[in-house]
Amino acid sequence: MTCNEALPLVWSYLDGELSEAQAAPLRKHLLECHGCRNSAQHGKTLKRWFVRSEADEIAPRGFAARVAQQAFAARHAARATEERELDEVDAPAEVSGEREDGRVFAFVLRLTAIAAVALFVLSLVLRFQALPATSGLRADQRAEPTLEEVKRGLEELNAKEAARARPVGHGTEQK
Amino acid sequence: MAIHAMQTAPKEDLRLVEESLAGNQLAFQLLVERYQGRMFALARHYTRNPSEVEDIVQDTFLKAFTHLGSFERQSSLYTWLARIAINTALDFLKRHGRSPVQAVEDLEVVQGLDRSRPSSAAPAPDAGLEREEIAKITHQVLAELPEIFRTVLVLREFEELPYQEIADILGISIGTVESRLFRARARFRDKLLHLHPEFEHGL
Ligand SMILES: [Zn+2]
Repeated sequence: MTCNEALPLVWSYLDGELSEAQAAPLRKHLLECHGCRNSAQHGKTLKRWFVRSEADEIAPRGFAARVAQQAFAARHAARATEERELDEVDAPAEVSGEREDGRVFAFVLRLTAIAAVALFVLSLVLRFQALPATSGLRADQRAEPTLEEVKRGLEELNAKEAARARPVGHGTEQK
Repeated sequence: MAIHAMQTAPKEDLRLVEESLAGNQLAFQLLVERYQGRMFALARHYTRNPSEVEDIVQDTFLKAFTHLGSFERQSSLYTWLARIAINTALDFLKRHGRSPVQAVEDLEVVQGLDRSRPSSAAPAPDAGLEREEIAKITHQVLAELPEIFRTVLVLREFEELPYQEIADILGISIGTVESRLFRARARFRDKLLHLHPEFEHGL
């Protein structure tokens, strides 16, 4: 091996990047050649500056636990959002606080639905009260009709209106 | 050609990855504990501000967690994390308007890439210097180097990664790793002598 072949391999050799087949002839050359040996020695000397600082490897106390918690909190939040998008009402929240929120939300929804039905019934009742007695509902029935009664009343009304608007014979089809 | 085989993820790493993916928070915490020291050391080569260092390492692990499913089982977890950490650190510096010193493709240096002089006389750390003192001087010198030279030296000399892994982390060829390392070492030597001429006649 000549100096021109040896020198380009010196850093790779010092970095442990040469195979044994490559390193063996280089080692032999270094033993015989003062100049190349000197170069290798300079390389080794430069490497001595690179010592790991133990102080630099210190992480703040509790770092790993904090990061893990943050990672999972973010994942839960992302999942909860996904599920909420899939099903606005019944998204099972994974964090206990969110589960509580979910229950409250469902309860409020139910209340709203009940209130809506109650308002609808009330509006029907008021409407029937305003109707003339000839409409088929007796005046004394106005006191709190059940939903069934209201429905039946409404159907009767519809049937009558239909019978009036269409020729006789077709009226019964539309119930 | 590398003597080091590509490091593969140890079984324990893979187990922690699998369990983290399955929703085990403690497994992920253990995984962070395993690598946090090396990630902190890495981040401290880009900023010395403690809260910034912590932000970089935290972001690194949060990103790693988000992409844990895409971690290639046959590669080294450390290599994967180091790549995320370096990118996070560089993004961080850019975002904060502290654009890392960019290496100018210095013609003189490129042409001077004369392999007949792989290493000129190097200053040696004084025998009386404590380990942490040497580390401090080296840190100071590295901070003055353009980022691409600093990074390649950190990965090779502190992290002791084989050329192939450095190439993977930086997305460059092995040949580029070699020439960049060569230039980085020459720069390091010059800067060291410039800042600390007292070490000139070491060895
Ligand atoms: Zn020679």
